[in-house]
Parts: sequence; structure tokens; C-alpha cells
Amino acid sequence: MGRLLAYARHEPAWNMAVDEAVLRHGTVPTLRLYGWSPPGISLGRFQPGRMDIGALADAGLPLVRRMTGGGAIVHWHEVTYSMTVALDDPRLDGCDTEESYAVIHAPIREALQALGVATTGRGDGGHGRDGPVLCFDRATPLDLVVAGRKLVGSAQRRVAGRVLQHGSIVLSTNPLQPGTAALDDLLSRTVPADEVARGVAECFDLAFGPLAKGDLTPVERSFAEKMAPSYRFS
Amino acid sequence: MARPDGYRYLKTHEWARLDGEHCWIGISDHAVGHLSDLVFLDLPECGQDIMQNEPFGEIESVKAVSDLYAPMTGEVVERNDRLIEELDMLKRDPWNDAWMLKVRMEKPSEFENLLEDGSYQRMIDSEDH
Repeated sequence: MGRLLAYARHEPAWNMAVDEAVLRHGTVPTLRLYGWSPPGISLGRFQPGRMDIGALADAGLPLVRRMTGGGAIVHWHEVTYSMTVALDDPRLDGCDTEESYAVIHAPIREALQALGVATTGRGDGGHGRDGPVLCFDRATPLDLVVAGRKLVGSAQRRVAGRVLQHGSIVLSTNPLQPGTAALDDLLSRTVPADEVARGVAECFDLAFGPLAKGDLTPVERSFAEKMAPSYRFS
Repeated sequence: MARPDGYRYLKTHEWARLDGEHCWIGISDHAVGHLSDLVFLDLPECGQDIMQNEPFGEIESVKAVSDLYAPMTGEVVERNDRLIEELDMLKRDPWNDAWMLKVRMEKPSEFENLLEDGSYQRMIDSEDH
């Protein structure tokens, strides 16, 4: 039996600390869905820092460090997912990194399809160490795109025997991150976060479930409380 | 391809090779094969202590950041800064030029805890079945 940590909005550092807590101390497949309140900017694990993001740093949004790689993300009108699962889970057994992305992306693609948005994997391209600052301006073959624009940007962190994949599903564009696709534009209506989160949870329940609605364990909560300050950028 | 003699492994694919009171540490060909398009390597500074089975660094490929685990306990006495700048060395030869750390061992007997080549290969085979 897996676990669903149902959609809720939290402050940026807490969001990142909880993902790490679930990865390092979780014991069952866990889907977590969350939003950002206040909005924030996350930097990839090895991005140099505030100076690397130029004018974004002047936006007045809280800055946090992700434990995953890639470029900066402005987390504003989005639903963020994180899926944590053992690497020897039957659904990932024998998968290389690229295949594991496809397996975890599959329920997201199904949920978006149910909303009326067909995504494709970008399939080619890619930026390495010197790619653009923003995640949504970077291209990798694993991106989920609509008409060439990234709608879902994802990244993985792997620790002994477990993998966490988290990513942003963009609801609407914001001026700090103008190059994305967005569900509001694609569907010509305001798409509530709850609606997307519900659909994603249902599709993950079929793919990785059953998932029982749950909460953090005391160990996970304690770890997240300890780690949250370390995710904040001063 | 056969792996060179004298190396032992953690289940997480790091290797250790003994050299007197020191050991060399790196990651296996199998690990490198699973890390496409390497981007960044973070290693501890000289003088830092590392502990067997605990994370000592991180490696980033285009789509995943992975922890690196120490196969042996001890103090870092050398770090391969050239590798940090030229990560493609790992693809060419993970056993020699692409070593990551040289460590003064605190507990040489820990080497016996590591997987010999045959056991390591069987573990890989079962992972990739």
C-alpha cells in the first residue's frame, strides 16, 4: 500500500525539506502534491547562487535550494508533484534513469490527457552544465512539452535504493518565467490547482497504488523541521 | 568486460582499492553507464573524514543527482580536482585516472565488508534482470 500526501500549500523551505524527509526516511511509495505559499524560486542543487539568476533575484520572492539538479524554477501558479519509490519497486525494476522518468511521468500525462491536454516527450536536445538559468528554458529529452514548450519540468534525486522525482505542472504563466506552456492557456479557462491535483492523484493511484491518504511520520516530520532552515537562501 | 583485480564494491556501486595505509575510491563502470551526460561532481575537501556507508559526495547527470557513499572510513588526503573539471574521464576509465578520493584508512578491516567482483556482478545481474 502506498501513501498520498494530499495537495496543500506550504512555504518554500518546508516544501523542499519535506521532499527530502520522505526520500530519506519514507518506507512506502509516496505521492506528494503541493503548492507554494508564498510563491518562491528554487535553484538547482549546484547552481552557483543568487548571482546566477540575475533579475530574478530582485523579484522579492523567497529563494530555496533544491536537492535535485537543473535550472531555477519560479514556483507560482503550479501544482508540484513528488513521487518517491524504491528503485527495486516492481514498477521501476530494471529501469535506467530515462525509463524511470517515463514510468513516473506516465500518470501525469494521463491526468493531463483527461483534462484535454496531450503532452509529448521532447525526445531530443539537452543542455549540460552551461544551460540557461531557468529550468523551463532548458531542454532535455525527458521534458513533457506541448507544441515544443515545456509544461512539466521534472528532476530526480537518488539515494541508496530510493528515487524521488519531483516537478512542476504549470497552471498559468508568470512574467518571471515567460517561456512555459500553461494549462490555463491551453484550455482557455482557469484551471484550479485542486482539479489538477485530484486528477494526478487518481492516475498515480492506478499506476503506483493503491495510495492511502496519509501524513508524515514523526521521523519524517522531525527531519523536515531540522532541515528546513538549511534550504533557505540568505 | 572484466573488471580489474583488487577492487571491491559497495552495493551502491562505489569501489575501493587498497594502497598501503591508504585506499583509492571511485565509482564503477556500471554506475557510470547509468549516469548519462554528467554535469557536476561534488567531493569533500582534503582533511575531511568520511565514514563507510555514509554519503561523501554527490554527482549530477542531466536528469538526476545521486549520493555517493563511502566504501571505507578515514580521512581524505587527496581529491581528484582534475576529474571535477573533466567528468568525461569517468566514461573513459573509471578505475584509474577517474579516481575520486585517496583516503587514509581508519579501519582497513572494513575492506572485508565490501563485495568482491563476483558478488558485485551477481548483484548487478539481479538488478538488471
